[in-house]
Amino acid sequence: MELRTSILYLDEAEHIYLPLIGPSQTCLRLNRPASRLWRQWMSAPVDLDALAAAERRLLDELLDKGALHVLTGPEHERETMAPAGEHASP
Amino acid sequence: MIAAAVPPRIAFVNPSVGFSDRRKSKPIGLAYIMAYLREHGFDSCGFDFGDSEDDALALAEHYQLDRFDVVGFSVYNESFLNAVRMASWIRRRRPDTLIIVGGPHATAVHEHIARHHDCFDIVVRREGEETMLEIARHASDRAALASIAGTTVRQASGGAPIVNPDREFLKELDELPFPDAEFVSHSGYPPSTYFDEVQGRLKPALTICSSRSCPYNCSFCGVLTIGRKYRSRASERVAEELQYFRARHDVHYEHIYFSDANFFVSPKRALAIARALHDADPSVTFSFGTRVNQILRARGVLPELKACGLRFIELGVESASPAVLERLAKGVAPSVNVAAVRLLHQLGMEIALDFIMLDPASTLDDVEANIGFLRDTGFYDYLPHDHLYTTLVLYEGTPIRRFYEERFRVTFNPDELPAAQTLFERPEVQRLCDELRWFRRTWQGRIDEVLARLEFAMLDRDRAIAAADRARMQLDSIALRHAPNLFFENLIADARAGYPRVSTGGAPALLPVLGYDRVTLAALLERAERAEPAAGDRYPTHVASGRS
Repeated sequence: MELRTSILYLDEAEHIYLPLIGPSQTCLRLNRPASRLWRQWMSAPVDLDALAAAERRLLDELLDKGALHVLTGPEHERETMAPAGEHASP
Repeated sequence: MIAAAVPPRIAFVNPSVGFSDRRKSKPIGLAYIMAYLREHGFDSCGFDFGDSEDDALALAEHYQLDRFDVVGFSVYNESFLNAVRMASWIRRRRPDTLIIVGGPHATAVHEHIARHHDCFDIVVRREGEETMLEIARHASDRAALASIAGTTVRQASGGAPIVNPDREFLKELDELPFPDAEFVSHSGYPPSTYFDEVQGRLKPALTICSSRSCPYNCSFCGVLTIGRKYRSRASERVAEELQYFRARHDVHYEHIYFSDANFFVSPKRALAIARALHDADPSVTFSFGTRVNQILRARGVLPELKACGLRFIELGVESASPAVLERLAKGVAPSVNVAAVRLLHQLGMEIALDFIMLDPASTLDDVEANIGFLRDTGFYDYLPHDHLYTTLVLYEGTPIRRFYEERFRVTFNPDELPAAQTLFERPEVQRLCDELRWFRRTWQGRIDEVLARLEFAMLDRDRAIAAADRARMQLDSIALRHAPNLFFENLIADARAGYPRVSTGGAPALLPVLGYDRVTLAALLERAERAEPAAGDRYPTHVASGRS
């Protein structure tokens, strides 16, 4: 499964910051382990069966909140066809 | 000479601390003395010039400080020379004025003052209520004034000062009247407020002192020059004081800043106060300062304190370096600091950080430990940024000042604070401090202003902001919070390497690229200013941290 985000986010000082994803639309800061997972998920396909229970919960939560989405067939096609530099932000 | 039957005209003055970072709030110690005197039949006038940047002599003249029979100055190290200038002016204009000086600094160097500053007649040591009352009663009798307990008296003949015995500490703080005193302030008093993020509104705030002194022995603490004798007030009296000042000022105070040196000495007492306040008015919130070890020891009461309105704790972390913590006699290991911060974070409690980034013997290892602690415990997202720039202040009468006098084989001028930025033992730390000061001077003011605008725009519930704009504002706000920290990291890395980048490109070469799109600090600030261009006049800058 490949994951993408369509939201603007900040990767700085070892943490990922996700705007509007926290309670009352605040900015959510992922802790360091979660930030590392985020970066992994952004860079390579995810093997759901290999995720630990806590990792799976985090993934589900981020999917529920709209911070992440699963790359669909047409999106995948567009991405693989697009020239470098045109991928989604950041 | 003052006629015996007529009560003396008395003034109390809090002189300017100049450009010191010392917190500038209403001088509650003087207010206690003034209220105590009034209760015993002596009215007085209060002058608070604590945050004035005007010339001391101009202030003395403008407010005609020479019209009083007795003038008492309360001084810290930072304000002492301003007190000397004012007192000398009064002495020249009206030689028979009885001029008193008290406060932490005066207590620490009472003999020096009585010997070398003939503008002062009497130094009041330690607590001032009872001593000042006795002085007021004998203001017209110079012979009687010479033997009042708790004073050091200058000899007109130029002989050795008379050091009278110490006065006993007040045993029952609850017997004191509330510190109800008005001060003339040159700069005026902006209303004291607290922005309660939980309730989403700005609250009128009152400062209350519920105890005196502290049972610990931190080597840098100026509070202890007054005396290490911890005493506290009953919870009911604290709640009464809130109601008293609500009625007295006709202001519905809803937040209390406890100004105690260490509020949390007894968790049981803290809880009793919290319950009393909550029972009086459940909308009241409060904050206090304490030490890390007490937080851990009393972790069980923290949830109830929070439920009763505790909003933030000013936490005396001071350093993450074992060597520095030992010099400061904190009696805690860095791991205790980390544990206390993590506990408060877990409880969702805001922290106001007391931190000493640099002291004269700091090494790059010490500084690196500090910035590592800030990074590891989430303080990169924290406002204000003051803790990045703090240097140890060597107050008179503190063990750490004596430590450095011995270490440097010098005697610091008792009238002045040594300039911390000139005392570093290691040139690489001196240079680091210089470059940090450059960053603060060049960028920090603009960062603070832009952050305040962004924060207020986002907190304004009446304002519609498109989701995409709000998301960018949130991320830009975080990046601006990071900016000084990331500059600091670059600076330490460069220092470790012998400053190659600073040497070739100057400190600007170390400015971080940051934000979701990795821009320069200048570009980030310009973008944020464009996003929120007209907000500056609408929003005060001091609430970016949630505190004021």
